[in-house]
Amino acid sequence: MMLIKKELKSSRWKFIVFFGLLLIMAITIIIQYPFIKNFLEQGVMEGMPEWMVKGAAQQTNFNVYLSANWFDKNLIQISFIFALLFGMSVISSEVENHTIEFLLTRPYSRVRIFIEKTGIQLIGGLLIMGVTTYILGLTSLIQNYDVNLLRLMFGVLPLFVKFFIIYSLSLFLSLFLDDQVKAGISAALVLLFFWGADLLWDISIFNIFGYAPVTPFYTHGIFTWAAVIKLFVIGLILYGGALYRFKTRDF
Amino acid sequence: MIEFKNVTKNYGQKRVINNFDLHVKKGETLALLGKNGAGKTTLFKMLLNIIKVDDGKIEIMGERNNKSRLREKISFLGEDYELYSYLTAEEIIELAAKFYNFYDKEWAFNKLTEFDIPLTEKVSKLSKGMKQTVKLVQALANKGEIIILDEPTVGLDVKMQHEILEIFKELNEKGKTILFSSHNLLEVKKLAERVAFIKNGEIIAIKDKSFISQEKSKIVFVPQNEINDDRLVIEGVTSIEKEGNKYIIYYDKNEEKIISHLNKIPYFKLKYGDQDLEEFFLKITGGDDDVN
Repeated sequence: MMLIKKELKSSRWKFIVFFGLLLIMAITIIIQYPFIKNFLEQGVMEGMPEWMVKGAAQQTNFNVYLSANWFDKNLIQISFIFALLFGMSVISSEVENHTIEFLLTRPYSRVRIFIEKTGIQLIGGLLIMGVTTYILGLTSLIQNYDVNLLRLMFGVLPLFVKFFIIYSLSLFLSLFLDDQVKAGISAALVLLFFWGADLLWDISIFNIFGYAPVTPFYTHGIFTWAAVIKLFVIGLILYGGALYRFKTRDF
Repeated sequence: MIEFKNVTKNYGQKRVINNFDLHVKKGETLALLGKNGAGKTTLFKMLLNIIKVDDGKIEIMGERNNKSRLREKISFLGEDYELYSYLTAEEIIELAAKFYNFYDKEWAFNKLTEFDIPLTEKVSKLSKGMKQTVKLVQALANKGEIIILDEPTVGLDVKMQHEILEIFKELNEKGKTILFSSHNLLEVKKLAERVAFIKNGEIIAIKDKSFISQEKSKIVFVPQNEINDDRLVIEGVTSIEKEGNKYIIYYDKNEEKIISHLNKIPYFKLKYGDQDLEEFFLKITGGDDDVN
């Protein structure tokens, strides 16, 4: 990992903000729970449609509330933004700033450069997601909530696979567009299109936000291995495509 | 040592390098001379495999140029590449050193100190000349057998240019193979043993040092105020032509002294080395690009 120091330095603000935002969200989820619970138990949902009442009732269970708000809302939404930001800039920023030659003229293969550069960001992303989830679990335990820390940590895995897909897609597009902003926006549009399309047609596997939700696993222990593996394969295809493009194109 | 064999490169419909053939011998210093856009940078990028060859092949020490380990033996300074602005000069050297089996960090730090480069200052805070010096030093510290320099003295002041050229001469004396590009005749005269003239991605002529040395060296100088012509009579100056307020100073030696003397006079323009490239090309080709 020869590039670790450089990569950490170049992406330090993204890592710091990513970590900071998740940390604030994690702590906020726990702090606001008593208020939410009180609010829901005061009967404010009376007269609302049945599906809303049912959903609200579930939220009075701390573990459902925790998982639904962390995994299926905050973590996926913030990871979505940062996966785009990391992926769109990891190579493109080097091309735009004319620093890519510094790397490509060394006795180092393009494959190795690519894997080191992207590997550091992916590992960094995984660590941030894992550490903030651990802090979330630990804070819950300190607050005397009964949480399953092991399941909570394991729940990061599907989320990281989704992070990997979003990252690889924006990276792949950046290697064609040579423009960070365009690559990020294009990747976001593709993912949002499939999210919208899933509401109309049955194409749930392409809906990164809804496919393989973590809450059923966390609350009932049902881990959808097949779904996570399918997502991982999609991620690998995109990552492989980006690597091939990086290896063969002119700079 | 370096061999371009029928190399061709197209950007879309446009052919930028056309059936390019060139052999650079071990230990020689060869200059690629051509105007901006002639294809010099593309050739270097292809040599380093940053840009892929469309047709033909490039060999370095008998091996195809796409092998990354070959770059262990190459020191490369590109014209249009930048250093990481968020790293310090010291961190740049440390980073570059990690890529090589042998990298003379001590030499690099000594050189940077010698050139008054603040080692702990971020690259973004350095002047253009300082950045160019850091680029050059970090590129040379792997002590490659082959040195490739694309416009190596661009952005450097006269003193620094002189010192850098001295380093290249030293390297050449040590038997290194140097391939460099320039649009500065003066620089080429000082360093090159052979010169390949490039136009539109093709070699139009290859000449040896004696040919280019015949060309009179001249400096174009436009002072801010009227000056007495006597102030331009310096040792080495052979003749002076005056056109309005512009002086064309011809010389045969003492170039550094002459330039440093002129630098002391307030001026609008002080140009040397590249002012007559067009003229020189015409002289070589006689107006016909096919001459060889």
